[in-house]
Amino acid sequence: MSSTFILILVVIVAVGFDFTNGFHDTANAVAPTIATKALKPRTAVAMGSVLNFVGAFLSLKVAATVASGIVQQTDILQSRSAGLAVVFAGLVGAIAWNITTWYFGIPSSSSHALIGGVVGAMIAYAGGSAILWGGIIGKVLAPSIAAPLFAIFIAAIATTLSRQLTQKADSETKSLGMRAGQIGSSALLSIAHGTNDAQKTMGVVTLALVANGTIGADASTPKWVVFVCATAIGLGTFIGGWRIIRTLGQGFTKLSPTQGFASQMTSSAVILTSSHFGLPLSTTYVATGSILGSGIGTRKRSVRWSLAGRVALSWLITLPAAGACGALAFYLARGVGYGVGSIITGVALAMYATSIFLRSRRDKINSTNVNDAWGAHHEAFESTSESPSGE
Amino acid sequence: MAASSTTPTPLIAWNILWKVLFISGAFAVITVGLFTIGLRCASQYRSTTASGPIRFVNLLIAVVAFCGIAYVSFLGIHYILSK
Repeated sequence: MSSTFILILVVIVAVGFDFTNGFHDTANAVAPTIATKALKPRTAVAMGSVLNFVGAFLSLKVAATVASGIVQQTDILQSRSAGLAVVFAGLVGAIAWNITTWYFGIPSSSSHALIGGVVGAMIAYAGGSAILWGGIIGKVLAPSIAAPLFAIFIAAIATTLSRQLTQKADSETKSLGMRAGQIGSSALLSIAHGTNDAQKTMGVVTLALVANGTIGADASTPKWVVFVCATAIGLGTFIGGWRIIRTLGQGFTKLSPTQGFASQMTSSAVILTSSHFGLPLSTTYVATGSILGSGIGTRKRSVRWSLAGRVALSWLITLPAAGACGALAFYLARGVGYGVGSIITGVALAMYATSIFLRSRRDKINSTNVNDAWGAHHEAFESTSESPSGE
Repeated sequence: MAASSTTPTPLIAWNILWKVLFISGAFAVITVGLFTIGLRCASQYRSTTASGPIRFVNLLIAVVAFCGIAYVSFLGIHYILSK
């Protein structure tokens, strides 16, 4: 089976990943806006969708980092079919992990799932020497530890400042103004997310095109790749990952409009600045860190740390878990020949996704119940007896 | 013969991480600060108990603060796109 056929499969799965990235990360930009009722859930998600699409066209710097800084491209270029199968298996691993964490409402990083999947598949193909470990540590692990810490720190300062400055403001003006500010900051955050996250898939598709010899190793990301990825992330965002929106908006702390505004401005600032420097930060970690920071910035410092701890644990296992899924997908694809194997792997992924989707319908979370009090749907997941208050 | 002066690239780009922390921190704190100052002054302006001059000063500060946010946001977006 020709490598072009596998390339087509890779592009389809990459677009699928971008779609899951959209709905998995919808929460990053709109969860506080929905939680504080600054916008209706559907309106917030629709706005996020359009602005994610727009944001994807703004920069290609992160795409270049993803395409060149994680694995040895020379190893991928040795065999076209095998190289494409590596990218394909990596994407399959990332989608599998994304769907699993979405089901449990865990705001884990789609970017790390993607990088983990590709690294796992690459190790299965060429061994650990094919991985640019320096790139993994410097461009993935270090920023992933720094990002939430930065966000917690800045959001706590911004929330405290905001709370102190508006103490004497009348509650009506304050609430109205903060909600308007939240809409603006949510818009900025959606653009930031589109700018940062759509590029990661663009980077992977570019890597596949390089592996197939369609474009040269030094070529820039083709325009059609940018358009397709922007569309996929926009549509995914429009579907709305309600389970994760609920966790971010209701789980960590009871968000007030002041906290929502401060956390969203912090997330936007950190993500946009990191995009400027070509640092592939996880928008999820930043958004989660900002929400935690906004909880710390309140007078009662009310944060559900038990939930935060569980989410942090899921962050720790994201890279190895997605890597294991990617490696498994690669072995499956290689076992029966790259062409047929890739089809079988794709079908297996589709079956898994369908089963998770059907299972999620038993405990449905959507725009109508996303703002229900925390515990009504996840009593087993969260058992703290704290009662956080807004300010 | 001139000696090679290549400096090894550090594993973690601390300089970039610090830049991200300071620039994003400054951007977030300035915008949130300006916005809340604007809100506070707008609230004072709407207050019925405040005297005329105080209301005028509050209105002025609120307008300056909101214009400041617009300017900082413009600078921020320009900064992102300037590459």
